[in-house]
Amino acid sequence: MEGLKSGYKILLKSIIYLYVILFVYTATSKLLAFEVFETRLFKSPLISDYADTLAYAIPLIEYLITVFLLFPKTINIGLYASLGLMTLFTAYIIYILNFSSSIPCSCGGVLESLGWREHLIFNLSFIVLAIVGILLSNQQQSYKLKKYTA
Amino acid sequence: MKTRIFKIVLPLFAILLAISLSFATEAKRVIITGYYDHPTNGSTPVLVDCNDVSGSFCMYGPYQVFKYPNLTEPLHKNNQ
Repeated sequence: MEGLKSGYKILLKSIIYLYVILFVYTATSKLLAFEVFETRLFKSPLISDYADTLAYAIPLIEYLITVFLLFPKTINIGLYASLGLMTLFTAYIIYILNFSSSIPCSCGGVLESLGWREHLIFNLSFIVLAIVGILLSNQQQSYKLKKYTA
Repeated sequence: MKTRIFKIVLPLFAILLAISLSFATEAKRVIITGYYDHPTNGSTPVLVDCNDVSGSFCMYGPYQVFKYPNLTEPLHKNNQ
């Protein structure tokens, strides 16, 4: 974390840990209630054809991103992957909002109690956090690069 | 020592926190609020051991229970 002011370092660490908590929490919740999660995916009009695969793939991807976020060398990959996954989830929410808001959310854990609109705001906040994290992480890396080439 | 806390203890704490939270919320999810059509009061909230996915229809006495106050999306009994 050398190269960033301490306030920015804390901000970057906080963003990373927020994502770690979010992904581990939602992935574990999905696996704990796997049957419910899978059935909800089958009920969804857009992804029902791939529900079988997605039921395993989504928690697995969330755990994988967590691993990337926890190791300094792969933080950047983890942040880009987090941004990508959150963007996909948000695109799905926007689709659901236009299609039917009565479709149950298969988000995992307490997030299921959020309405679709609240969920959209929640996801957009995390997208902003991921972008801030990427900017800070890139700044960090360019500082290191300058240091080694100087 | 400080670095050790940041590198090992903090990530471990975050993961354990997330896992315990997911277990805690999953344990609580059995009882949910549903709504049934009361003959005089109309849509009335009630706590039921049901889900919105599968199973036989969730009933509160003779009344069918729904997920939303506008009595849409029927709830289903949890399989015990």
